[in-house]
Amino acid sequence: MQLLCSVTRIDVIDDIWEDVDGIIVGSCAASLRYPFTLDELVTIKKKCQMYGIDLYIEIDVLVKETSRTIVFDLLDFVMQLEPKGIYFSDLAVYDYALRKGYSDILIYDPLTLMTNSLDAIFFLRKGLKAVTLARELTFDEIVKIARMTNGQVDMQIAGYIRMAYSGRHFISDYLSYIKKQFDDQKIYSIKEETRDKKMVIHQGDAGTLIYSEFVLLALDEYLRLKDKIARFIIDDHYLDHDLFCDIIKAHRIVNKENVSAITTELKERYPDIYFDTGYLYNKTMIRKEEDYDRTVGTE
Amino acid sequence: MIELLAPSKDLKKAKVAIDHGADAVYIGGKSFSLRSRASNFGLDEIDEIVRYAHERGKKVYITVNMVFHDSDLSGIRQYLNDLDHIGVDALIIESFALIELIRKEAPHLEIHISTQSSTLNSNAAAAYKRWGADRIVLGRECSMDEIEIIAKRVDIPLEVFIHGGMCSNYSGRCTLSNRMCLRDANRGGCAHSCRWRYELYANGEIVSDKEKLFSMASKDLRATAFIERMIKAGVASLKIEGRMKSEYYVAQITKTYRKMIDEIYAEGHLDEKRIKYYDNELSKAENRVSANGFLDGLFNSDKQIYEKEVTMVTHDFVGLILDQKDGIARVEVRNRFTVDDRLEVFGPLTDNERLKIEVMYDEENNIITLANKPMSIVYIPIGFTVRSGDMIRRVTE
Repeated sequence: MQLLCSVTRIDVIDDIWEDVDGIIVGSCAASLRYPFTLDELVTIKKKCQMYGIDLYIEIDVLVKETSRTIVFDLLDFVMQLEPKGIYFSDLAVYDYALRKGYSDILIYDPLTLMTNSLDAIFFLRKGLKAVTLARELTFDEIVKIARMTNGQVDMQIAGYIRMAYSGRHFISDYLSYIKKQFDDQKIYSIKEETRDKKMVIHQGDAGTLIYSEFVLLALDEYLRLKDKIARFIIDDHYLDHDLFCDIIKAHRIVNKENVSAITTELKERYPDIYFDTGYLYNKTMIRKEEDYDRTVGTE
Repeated sequence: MIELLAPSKDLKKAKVAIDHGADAVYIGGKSFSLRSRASNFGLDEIDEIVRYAHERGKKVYITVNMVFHDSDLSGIRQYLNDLDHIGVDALIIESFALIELIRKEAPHLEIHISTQSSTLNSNAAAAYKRWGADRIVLGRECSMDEIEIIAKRVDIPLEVFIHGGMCSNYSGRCTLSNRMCLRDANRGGCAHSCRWRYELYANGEIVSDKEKLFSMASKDLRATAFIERMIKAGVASLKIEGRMKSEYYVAQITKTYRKMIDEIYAEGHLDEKRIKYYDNELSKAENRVSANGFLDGLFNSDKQIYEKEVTMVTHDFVGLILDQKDGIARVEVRNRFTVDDRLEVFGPLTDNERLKIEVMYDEENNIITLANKPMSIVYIPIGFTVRSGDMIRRVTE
């Protein structure tokens, strides 16, 4: 089992390296979230070597036909950094890596589609290192898939969850409609007009991401899954520095005796953060049409 | 020749689509399909529509495109066996593992990779082909330029959406509905949370307009200006979205694109005037605003909907012709209409004939001027030939 975290700020690596087994980074050339230039990736690699932690690369975008060469050039570059694994979302990455002979370090992470054991096994049989489970699975579903794949699966265990990925520029399009300017240095969020919690919305060149209104925190579940999952991922995007470091530390020191205390302490230290276990105990199954009419009422 | 692929919610609409010119229809079974509320086909109905289609040289594709959880897979093998036995033409799927399962359990069926997989490039298409797919339904985020390039680079037929609703997020990569309503968007339960209204904040301060709140709602797709290029690019199939739509919608949209495709093949080219004509025809069934999606390579606020959706109904479906004897049409009333309304008739072999009602009778042979009981029967003498299945619409514009 490895504990990894995604990193979107170089300086944070100096603060977390002792508590993680590896970090996940990406390049602004082919990412919606990671701001790093190729030179910065080299710097990050050197830090990883210095600290003795593994480097993983993430290519989190869906690849348009006209963007393929940028992604493939990036892949050629990052292979020189000898990453331990490459997370990818689009099969173009798989196809290219297969042709180049390094598909065995790929980890397929389509965010939402890896929802059953058969699909996970499909990719493992193709020789991939692992797959990342969909965020909307329940705890029991995760246990089953992990069992069926001999634990060759990764999962996000903490941080905001990416709930939607669009190829559109939702924020700037709307702001231009109401004659305002989009500022990519600001943090944007949306709140449905009848609800009270906000969701971060992030726009980059490659599109828009919408994050959950909650920060996933599942320390008890982490303990119960520790020997079943290959890599746990703590996602840092939009977590402030202290919270991110505290969440990582919590995962390092948690055990059966202190799990409640640590969870409570985090919640008390960050009272403005909405922590939740997400989908781990929330089934989102389809129901019959008459159920929808009763519970939703309109569409 | 390029295929025109139309959606159908039930048996009746599937037949309407075929009668109005679809080369193929796609339908969902009661299980395993993404549009759970648009799937009314049991195996008997699938069998019936396959026979109906095959007798006319048409095809039937079944959507098995749910993003499965382990608990959803119970019965899948038997279902695939049954579909193979019935002789459907293809399955539209999202799951990778299903590719192998279909090859084993339903070896006669083609495998079409659903738009849920968001295939946007030739490498991904090539990977699916290597694994055994027979067709790719491209993601709706592809521009026309990209479609042309992909079509040149890959050796697998491509299917492209040309009309209807668009997901605001990449298909398959959205769980807004899951979180906000506990309805799984990838298993048929999408609540269209993207169309709701939101306040937008920047660094904690509200920046949205109170009267025009933020939304992710997209205008519908209408690709009339690109059909000719798609044909020339070698696209295999043009797909109409809308398994939830009415029979009137299916009839009018299918027929319009049928005529448009036939005219392009016959004439070699359509000028802007003819494209506008077909746009007007499509508008007779539309009640939502539309744009060309990503096809022109741009996506901006002109293609989004921020204010309350304006319905733009110009024609209402008011009656279905059941038959005509001695010049008198027997009509099933679908919506209120009077003898003074501006009406027209259309159908698979009937082209927009204006109808002036001189007299109308109810089932007791009483002369009436108003038909307002849905599913009641009225009799109208009509001076031209109409056929069973032709539709009467009122012109409201």
